Amino acid sequence: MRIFFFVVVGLYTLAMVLQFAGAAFKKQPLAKSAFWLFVLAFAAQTVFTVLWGVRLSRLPLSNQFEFSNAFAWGVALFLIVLSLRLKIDWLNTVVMPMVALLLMYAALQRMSTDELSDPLRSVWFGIHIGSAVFSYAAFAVAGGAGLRYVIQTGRGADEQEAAMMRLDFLGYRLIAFGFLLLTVVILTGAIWAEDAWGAFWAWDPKEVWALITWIIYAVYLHRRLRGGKTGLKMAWFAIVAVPVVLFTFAGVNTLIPGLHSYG
Amino acid sequence: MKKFFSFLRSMRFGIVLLLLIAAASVVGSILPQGRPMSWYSENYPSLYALILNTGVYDIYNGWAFQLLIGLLCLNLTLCSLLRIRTLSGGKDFVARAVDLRDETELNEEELSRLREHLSFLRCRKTEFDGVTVYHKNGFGRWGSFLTHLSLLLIVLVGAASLYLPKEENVACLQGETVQLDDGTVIAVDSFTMDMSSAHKDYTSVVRVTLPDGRESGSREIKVNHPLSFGNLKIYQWQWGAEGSVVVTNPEKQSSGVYYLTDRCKLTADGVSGIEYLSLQETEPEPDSGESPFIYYLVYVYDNGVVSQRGFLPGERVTVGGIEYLFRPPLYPVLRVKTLPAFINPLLIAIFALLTAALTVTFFFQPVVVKVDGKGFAVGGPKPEAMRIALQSFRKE
Repeated sequence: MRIFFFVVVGLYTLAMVLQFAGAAFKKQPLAKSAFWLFVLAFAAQTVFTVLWGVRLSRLPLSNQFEFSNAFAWGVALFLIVLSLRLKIDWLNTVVMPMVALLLMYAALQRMSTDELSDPLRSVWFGIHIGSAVFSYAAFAVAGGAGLRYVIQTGRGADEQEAAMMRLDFLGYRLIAFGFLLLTVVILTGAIWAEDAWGAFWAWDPKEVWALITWIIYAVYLHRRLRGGKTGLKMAWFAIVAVPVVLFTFAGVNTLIPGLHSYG
Repeated sequence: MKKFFSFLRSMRFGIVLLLLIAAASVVGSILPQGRPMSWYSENYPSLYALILNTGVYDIYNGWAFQLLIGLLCLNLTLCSLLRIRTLSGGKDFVARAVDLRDETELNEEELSRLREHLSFLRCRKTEFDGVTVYHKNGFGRWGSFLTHLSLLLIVLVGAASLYLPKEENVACLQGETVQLDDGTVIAVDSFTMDMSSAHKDYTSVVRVTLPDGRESGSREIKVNHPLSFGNLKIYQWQWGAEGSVVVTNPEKQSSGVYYLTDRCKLTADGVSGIEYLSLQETEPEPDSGESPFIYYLVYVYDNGVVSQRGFLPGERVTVGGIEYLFRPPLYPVLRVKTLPAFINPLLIAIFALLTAALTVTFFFQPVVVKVDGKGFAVGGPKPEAMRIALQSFRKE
């Protein structure tokens, strides 16, 4: 299974390199090949994740390796769906590296086959952690959209152009979706915490950083919806918020032990 | 005064409060909270004075943090009240669309396609003099109000659920009962640890009798599966092990329970008996499939012969006419929380309301499209989505 995982990492990395080459040399066939190789890598990762879950007889979401793998899978899914549904390829160059880097981080983690510990055996396990996967993935892709926006603005694109407005709106919609799911993460986590630990909220570092992430994106959404802010500033906001998400995802577990330290 | 209230309910003030709460939370997550002051002086000697003076060692319970939360509640209350006023203009929302300006001009064929497209987007139609107003998601006006209201309720009801309950940890040996201060009786019938997996499973079987006489019957408590009964919620919290033995003298028809906390000798005649050494846990080979188990390690003194033996819970030995029955040593520590029964379901209902309200706010924004003989104009609080949906009809 370890070898299978590294094959997946290799495929994603190759897709990323092809995409960079296609973008740098402006070769459309290269970029197209990169996308379809990316889809192949995604399919392989899906098979790997399912097989891993079958081997463990549970959803593979309980430790850093599994969550990182799921996070990368979620980002890849978003990219593929957006590319096929909206027929856009703007995000490939910025989002593909995210997937590769997340999987490289996963590769550094222990591929544990331990059974679920007692506190994790709950009906909320899949809902809470699954929502977190898609929430973080949405924020990451939104950050990618923001980065693309900044790059295009740097190349002289007009913020009033239809394509730029669509890119800006896409970033907002992704953040709105991610924010909704992050709210579900926090609320389901609270209900689960009450059953497991006797209190809806214990100021655990993971809880606190999820709240901090929620607050950051709440500020973004207020600035956008009430303040009417769009364009370059919000694109930068979406980019700058991503490290907060990454710290909540990985930094807290690594640097600040607490009730969520499950390995 | 009006300016002051306007500031208190403003979005800017709300954002500042949220960011201050976030900043305080960063500090609270990095600096371990609630430790004894000696711990901080040992681990942060150069920052000790700052930590002590600012109170960041217990930041979430400090007056400054509570003040921020209080101001946030005030901000949420005031902006919710403001939203109630704007919601009352519902019926005018569609009628006001007649006055929309900034039209995009279209010819007849394009107008016809536009009308078809708006019907495809499931917009409802209202006719005014020569003008058709297409509209959808009228209920979306409630999204923002319900979002802020539910956030306010979460803070208030959540604070009640954090600070109102009375909590205590209760340890009780198997087969025994414990009475709480309010007269509730908890009987622990059994406590088992399933040690067959890499992580232990703990199950308590208890019977609860409330002061008013209501009985729960035999109920299981496990991690993630607390028992809710009356105003009580009982959690599987921890476990402990304490040896105990039932000593029976058949001749005198007497028996008693002796608790084995330290090494001790039990003998009726000073010669025969048992000497309790300790509780031991076996360590089966990894991958052997065997479960570890706890047993009593004792010396048995039998007519001058001393032997060291292990006894599993439930086993007995008769020495010098006295029977020693070794009781299950494991006991649960249960966390008993007393809270009005309606608070938890109320909080969960508010959670559901918040989720629904956010969904409506982001994805069901009310929108109007005015279509007359010359063209169309898009309006509404957040018409961005509709503008993009109709982009193909807009001339650059």
